[in-house]
Amino acid sequence: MNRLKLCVVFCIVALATGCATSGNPNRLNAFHDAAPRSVLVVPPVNMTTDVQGTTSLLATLPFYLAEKGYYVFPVNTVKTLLEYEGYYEPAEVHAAPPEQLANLFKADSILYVTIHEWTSRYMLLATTTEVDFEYRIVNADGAELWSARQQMTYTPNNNSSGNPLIDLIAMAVTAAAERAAPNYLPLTRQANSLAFYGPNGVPPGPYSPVYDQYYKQLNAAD
Amino acid sequence: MIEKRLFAFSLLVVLTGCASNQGLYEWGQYQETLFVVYHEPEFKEEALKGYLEFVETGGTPQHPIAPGLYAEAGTFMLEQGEVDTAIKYYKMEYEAWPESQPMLGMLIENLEARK
Repeated sequence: MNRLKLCVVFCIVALATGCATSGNPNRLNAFHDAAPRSVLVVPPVNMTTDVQGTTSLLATLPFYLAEKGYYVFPVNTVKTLLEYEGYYEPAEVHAAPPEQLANLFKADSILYVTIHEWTSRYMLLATTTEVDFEYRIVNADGAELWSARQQMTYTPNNNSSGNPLIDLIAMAVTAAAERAAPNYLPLTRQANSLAFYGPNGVPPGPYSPVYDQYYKQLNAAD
Repeated sequence: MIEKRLFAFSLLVVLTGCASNQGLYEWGQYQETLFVVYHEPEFKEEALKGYLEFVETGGTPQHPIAPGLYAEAGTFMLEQGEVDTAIKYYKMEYEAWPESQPMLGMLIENLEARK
C-alpha cells in the first residue's frame, strides 16, 4: 500500500514538472551566450579513497551530454592523450589552465567533476551507498557556464526516506543493482541524470532536435 | 494488480524522462566496455572484440553511433600497437563529427608520420 501511494505521488510530481526548468532564469545566461557545441570531459577528481571512483564515473558521463545534443570528446581517448601529454593524475588536469586544455583538443567547453563521496557502509542488516558529485562546465577561456551538485544515498530494503522521488529511484535501481554487485553504478547514473536533465540541467546542444526551437524562444523572449 | 501496473508506469516515467532528449544514438556496450578495460582486465579481449563488432555496424540512419565511439575504438587499437587499424577508426570519427577534426586531424597526421 505504501508503495502504491509512492507511485501515485511520484507520477504526479514527474508529470507535473516534466521538463520545465525552474529557479533563477538568468542562471544560464553565460551558457546561452557561449552556446558550446562540444564538451571535453576530463577524468573526475576523487576526494575519497575508492580507487574505482574516477574511472567508473568517467565511463558513465558521455551518455548524458551526448544525448542532450553535444559532441562529447571520447573520454578514454582524452584520458590516454592527456597521459601522453604528461597529465597522469586527474588533479593535475583540473589544476591546468582550462584555456590550455580546451586549446589542446579544440573543445568549446570542459566538464570538471569532483567526487566528494563514493562510499558503501556495511551495516549488520543493510548496506548504505552514498555518492556526492560536483559538476562544473566552463567555456574555452575558463568562465563558468553551469554547475550542479548531486548527492544520493541508496539503502536496499530500506523503508521510506520521506522523499517520494528518492524512494522511487531506489526501487527502480534495485534490479540493476542486484546485477552489478556494487551499488554505485545505478546510483551514479541517477545522479548524472538528475544533474544534467533535472530542473537545473543543461540546455539542449546542437544535435538535439529541440535546439533551434530552444534558442529561437530565448531570442524571442529577449 | 493496480499496484503492479502503477509501479510499471512509474518505472516507465523514470526511464523515459524527458523523451525528446533520449535515444539520439546507438551506444552498444560502451560503458560496460570501459568498465572492463578499467577494472576487469581478464575480460578485456572479449569486451573489445564485441565493441569493435558493434562499431563496425555504424548504427542505423535514425540512430547513428554516438559521438566519440569510433575514436575510442581507435584508441583501444592504438594501445594494442595496431596503428593502421587505429588510424582507420580515427578517420571514421573524423568523417562523422566535425567537432573532432582539429584534434583527430593532428593525431592522424602524427601517427602516419611515425609509421
